[in-house]
Amino acid sequence: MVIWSSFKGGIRKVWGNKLLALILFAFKLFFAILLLIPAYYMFARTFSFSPSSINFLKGYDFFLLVDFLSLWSKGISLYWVYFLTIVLISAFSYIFFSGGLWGGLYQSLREGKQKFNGEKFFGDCGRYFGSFLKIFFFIIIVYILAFFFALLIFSLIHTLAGKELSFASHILILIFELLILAILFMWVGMWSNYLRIYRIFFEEKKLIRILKPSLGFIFRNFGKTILLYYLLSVILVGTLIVYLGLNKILHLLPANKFPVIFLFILYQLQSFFRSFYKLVYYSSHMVLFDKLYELK
Amino acid sequence: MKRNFRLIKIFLIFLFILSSSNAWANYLPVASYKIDIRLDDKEKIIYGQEKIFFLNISEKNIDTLYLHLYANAFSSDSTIFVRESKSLKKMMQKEEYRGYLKIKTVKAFSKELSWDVDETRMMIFLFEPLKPGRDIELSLEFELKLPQIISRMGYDKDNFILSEWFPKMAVLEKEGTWKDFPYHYFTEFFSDFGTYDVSITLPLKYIIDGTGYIVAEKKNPDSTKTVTFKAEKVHDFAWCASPDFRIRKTNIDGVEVVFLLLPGDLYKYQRWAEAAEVALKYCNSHFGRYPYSKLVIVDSYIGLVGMAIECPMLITMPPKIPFLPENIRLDEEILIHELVHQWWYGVVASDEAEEAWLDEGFTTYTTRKIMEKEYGEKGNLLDLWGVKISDQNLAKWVYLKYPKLDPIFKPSWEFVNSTSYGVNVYYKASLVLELLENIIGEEKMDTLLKEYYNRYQFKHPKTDDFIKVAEKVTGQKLDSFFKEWLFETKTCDYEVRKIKSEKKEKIYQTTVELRRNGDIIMPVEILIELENGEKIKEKWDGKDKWFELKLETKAKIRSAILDPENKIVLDANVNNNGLSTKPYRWPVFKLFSNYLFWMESVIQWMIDFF
Repeated sequence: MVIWSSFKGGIRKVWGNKLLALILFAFKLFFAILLLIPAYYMFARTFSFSPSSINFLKGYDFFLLVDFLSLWSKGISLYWVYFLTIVLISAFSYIFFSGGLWGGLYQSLREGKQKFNGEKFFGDCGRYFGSFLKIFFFIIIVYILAFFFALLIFSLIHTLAGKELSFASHILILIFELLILAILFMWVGMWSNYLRIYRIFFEEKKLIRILKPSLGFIFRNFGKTILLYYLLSVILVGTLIVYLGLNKILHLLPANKFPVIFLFILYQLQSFFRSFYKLVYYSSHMVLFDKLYELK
Repeated sequence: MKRNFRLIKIFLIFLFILSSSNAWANYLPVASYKIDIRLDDKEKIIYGQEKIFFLNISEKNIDTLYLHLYANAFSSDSTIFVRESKSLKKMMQKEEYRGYLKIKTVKAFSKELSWDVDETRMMIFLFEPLKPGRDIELSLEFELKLPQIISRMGYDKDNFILSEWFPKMAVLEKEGTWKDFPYHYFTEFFSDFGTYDVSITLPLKYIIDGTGYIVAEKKNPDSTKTVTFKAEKVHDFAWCASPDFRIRKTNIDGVEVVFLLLPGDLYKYQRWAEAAEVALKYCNSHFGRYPYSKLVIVDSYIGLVGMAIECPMLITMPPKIPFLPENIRLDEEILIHELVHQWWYGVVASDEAEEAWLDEGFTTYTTRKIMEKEYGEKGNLLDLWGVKISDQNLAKWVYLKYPKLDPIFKPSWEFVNSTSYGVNVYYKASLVLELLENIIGEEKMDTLLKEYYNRYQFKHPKTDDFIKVAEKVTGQKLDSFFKEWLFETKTCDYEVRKIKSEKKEKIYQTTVELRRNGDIIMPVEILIELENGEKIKEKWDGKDKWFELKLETKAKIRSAILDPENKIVLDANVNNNGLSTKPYRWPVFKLFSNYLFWMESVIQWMIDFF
């Protein structure tokens, strides 16, 4: 089946370019550490020599955190500005680096397994940056429109459901609404991937020229594109469940250094896996596109 | 009947004046009302006739009576209420948000009296002074134009909620002083107990309920109905009406609890009923029985100042609390808080305007006790995805925002702003009571509150009265405790500054340096842990600015913790209460590890979106 083979092909491509996954993971780690440094300074200054900090081994002790937040209130206000600035820089940095990631995966698709070439990687970063930046701004608008469309659907649901609902009905409606929002956002995310695919495959720099063909491709092959997306999402959710289970088990262990170390390892494995899997998303869609476009 | 009642009243007044303290006086209806009103639901106007039976319980002759006309606070954009709100001025320029309470006539003994109105204060000039122990019957005719709901009274389309809405006697103290304060933005109320006999005529479509019991309901030929309520031993009459209410009833501990829910909120009934049960049972057993056999809980319509309010025998829940999962207990906290007010406000009716902490602080403290008992000490407010926040965490966090601006004890309108008012009378006051409990013990605290409730039921205790009861029950002098915590803006912060051990032959000279960073003095306990596992408890009176505790120990010191049981809940910084010689790497590493993962997740989500 073309969907399953695209998924497998995607994994193979990324596995053959593990360094790209490592680059993405390193990118996340770099910005996360930038965000962490001021917070860690505040934590360490407050809690390092405090016997009460043992409570943090058992969970988040808000009895201590409340006073911490008050003590560092000015610092935290500044930290928020710093936080938002770093997140914004990371967003634009990612747009830049994603060019190299997509370029690397495309080269692997066309030419098979290749040795990592730093010059080519950064070359692709620069080459696709302008187009990816335009796609980024365009997709933000589409997300906003999708959100308002979702609100319309919600208000319709609420009108149909009526006012006299039980607690369980409210929960069901909430789950249903979240699913609708997730699906709408998934479609928008999928479209952004195909915009990049069209940019890379056809070397088309003008966004306006790839809007219609990319959307057209999705609708013409709606079943396959959406099923691949759902397959990827379902597998991701499955891995998340496994991760949450392991997390829960580690939290049940007695509070000492070994569960803390294992948790740290689990967190970083999870983070690396997400980086790897993100590339599998990109790569699977490229493989599917390649197959379906060839067939056409 | 009226003559017999008069004789009984005179006898009770005689007892009251002879009594050496308020504690021993029987209940006395000081201000009773018979009110007949008609609601014009299209024009949003109420036409009313009112009889007030007022008893002079003071020691002085009174030639002027003072009343509150609270609705006049909404009569223009330049009233004290609106000016102090800062945010309502623009809104109050629109006609639909305005309201007024206009007096048409005032009579006594069939003679018209002269009167004057100054915004929300009304003065009625008597022909002859009202002597101590004598009463007077006033007849008033009034017109109440309802504002769109801003604060405690008004309408939203066809939905009405009214409290403190009619011409209401101010409180006359024993010394002859009137508590006739104007209606300030973050001031609440103060009224005398009495009997209410209220008849409300309104269109048939409305479902109505309020303070007291419905004793009659009559259909009128003009498609209206007249509903008559009777309430005794209350100090306000609040009511609500809406064609949209859905009624649910339950019996809790012998009290009929009536829920008036809006159609979209029916699913909340189970949760609210459980919270009401928890609160009623706790207060009944800890303080004294709820003295009425009915309580109304109203699902309020949208208001501009969305709030929950307490009225005698009636509480409202704030408009449109969104759907929340069961481990976010906002509904429970609010409902329990308002219900507990039936004890601290409804029955023990302290002056909410000048000593607001006596009802709000007590209620916030009691709410916390109930939340902790029912939902656990940690996470009783929020328990979601490993994050546990308790009511106490919230109180402390709010307190630390403005710990030094205002003292707790202050007339409400004198606080620097509404935030400082809220911080002090609700949160800091509740923490002071919790601190008191930690000092005297939980059992003694229960005894104290029970004694206070039983002594001051249907009375108006002051802060001094509570302090006297506290000293009597505990057998301790507590005036300095209350002086520092209620009347001043001092803070408390104790710190372990340094610890060290120096070897001297076979033993260690261990030194623990303690600091008092705040101005409040409290005795503190210190727990010292040595490297051999031994634990030593010491005490410090906390008076000096610093203190060096010197001990000879068999092993080196590992750590020292001040106030190890966290009794001083108002310590401004608990994180400096302990010090160890070696760093606690693993707890900090765990925080670091969690926070790093969250930051990686933030970047991942950003990548996933784009």
